[in-house]
Amino acid sequence: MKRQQKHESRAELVGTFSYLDDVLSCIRRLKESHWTIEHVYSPVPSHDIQALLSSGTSSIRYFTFIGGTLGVLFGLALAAYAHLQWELITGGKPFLAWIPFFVIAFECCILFGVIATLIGLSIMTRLPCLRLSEVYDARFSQDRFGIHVSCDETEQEIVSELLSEAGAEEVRKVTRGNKNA
Amino acid sequence: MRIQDYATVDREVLKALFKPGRVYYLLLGLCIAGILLGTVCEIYQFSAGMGVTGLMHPVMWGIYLISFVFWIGIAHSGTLISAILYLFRARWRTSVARSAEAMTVFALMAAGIFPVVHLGRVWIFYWLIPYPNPMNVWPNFQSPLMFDFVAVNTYLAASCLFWFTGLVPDLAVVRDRTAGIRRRIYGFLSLGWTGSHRQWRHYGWSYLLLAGLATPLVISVHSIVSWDFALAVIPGYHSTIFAPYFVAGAILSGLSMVLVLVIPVRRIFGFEDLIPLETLESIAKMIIFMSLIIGYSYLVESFMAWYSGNIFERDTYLWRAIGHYAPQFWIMVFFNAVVPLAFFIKRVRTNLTCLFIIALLVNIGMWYERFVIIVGSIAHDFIPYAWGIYSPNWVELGLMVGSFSIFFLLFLLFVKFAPVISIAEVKEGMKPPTRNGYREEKPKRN
Repeated sequence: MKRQQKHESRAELVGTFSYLDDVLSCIRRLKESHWTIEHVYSPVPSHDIQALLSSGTSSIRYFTFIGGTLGVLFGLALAAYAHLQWELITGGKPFLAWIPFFVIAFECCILFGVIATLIGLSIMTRLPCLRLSEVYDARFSQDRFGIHVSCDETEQEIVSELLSEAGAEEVRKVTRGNKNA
Repeated sequence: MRIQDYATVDREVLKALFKPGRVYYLLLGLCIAGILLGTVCEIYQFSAGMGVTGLMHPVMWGIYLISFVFWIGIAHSGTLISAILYLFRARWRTSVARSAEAMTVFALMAAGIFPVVHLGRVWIFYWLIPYPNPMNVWPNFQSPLMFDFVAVNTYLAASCLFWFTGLVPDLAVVRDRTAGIRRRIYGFLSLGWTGSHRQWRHYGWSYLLLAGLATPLVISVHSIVSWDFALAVIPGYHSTIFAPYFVAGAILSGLSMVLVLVIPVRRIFGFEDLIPLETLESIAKMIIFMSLIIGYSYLVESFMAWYSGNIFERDTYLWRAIGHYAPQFWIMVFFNAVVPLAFFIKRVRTNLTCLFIIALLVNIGMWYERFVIIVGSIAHDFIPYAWGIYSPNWVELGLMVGSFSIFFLLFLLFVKFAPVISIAEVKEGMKPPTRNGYREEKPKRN
């Protein structure tokens, strides 16, 4: 109940921009204020936007490292286990021939690393998300930028004015009720 | 038309997804006919046994292995262009990377047919999969054939996932430009992508990591395929040069196939502004480089056969040049090591007809290279009793035609249902829309 009340007292606004420099100056102004920048939408990745939002490096690399390490261990373990089941000397090589097993381990490292990276991507981006948020505008994938800001209900007008002054060609209030992807 | 803004990029790339013309349906029909031919051949072989093929002692590896190695080779250049050149920040790759990566995925699918088909007892193919079973049967992980199974499947999985990851933002673009059932399907495939700053940050890192993971596969997978032969003792197979030799050949054939695919696509869909001639010229320059490596490999192989003093090795290499398969050998040498050198002439490498014809000839030459290596060596190994001549018959050729048909069918479907050019990457390479002009802030150094 308290959470719902808190949510109801917050307003969410989305400003739609045509120019990247307008977006950057708006982000700078919002950062100086106490309002929260929820999302910044763009049709392309922008290093300038990432730098202003202090995004830093992604933690997906940890997923990749863990996946790759598990892959190497799995590959070696699988090959060793399979050969220990029969203990046959094949091609003049010992039961546990680590050089050919390295090939299996290497390939498993890559495979597990790739899968782990995508699991990390899915977790960090919260995809798949089959219902598009009301915040999203189809123009964001074409040639428009969007800034999604949350503020108190009472400050809506001020934030809306700030977005317009920064160059937003459209400012709309978000009303919740999911739309389909 | 010059591509000046983001909206034009969308419009130009997505126009290929419109309702196709009659030529498209004709090509589709031809591909389906080819697949039916391949299916008939396989059903016949499956029911009557491997004896219906031209395979016979001593040549037990023929068209099927040639096709397998050929398609795996084709796949490598796709990953080279989309992953390795991405890491090197080669801007020219942007407009062809998507098609190249699609080529990789489809080539791997075509290649995957052959290890199954040439088994004979196709129904026990699953014994290659290492899983616990009541018979306690496990594959021999020391065998290069098992390396192959693991490597090719890893490459297929990694390529599919890498390709799909790159497609997600572009599928969102298509979702937002369509309506009805198409919108729902593309919406599902785009996973709900919105292009928020968080998504782009993690996506950028993921793509970089995936490119880094795919890069060693370009070297390792075809090296492993080459060890199917190099780990045998047959003269002509048992050579330490095989790994780099095969990888270089794979990249050469793959780059040529990229040209064979991209030149018609560029012409038919009017992508001249998106895929400039300089991109095709860059591919031609890479073909020169790979061709020189291949030419060097041919010389070194022959030199080492003589220098080794091994009479069997010497005889095998001599027989390649003057024996029963001499025409195939000289086609291989001429098409792979001589013809591509024409790209040294700027007029040749900037002429679309020359680019296309030379690329086709290189693909033919590379197919013959696999023929000369695989068949030419086992047809003439240690002792005269073990010599024999192999001629492929209609069953094998039909299956090969089927594999080409599958490849081109998948590419035709890709062209119609997915953006052929990476929209997000092309936009990223353009100057962003600015009101007053700005200079990108460089990170401050302490």
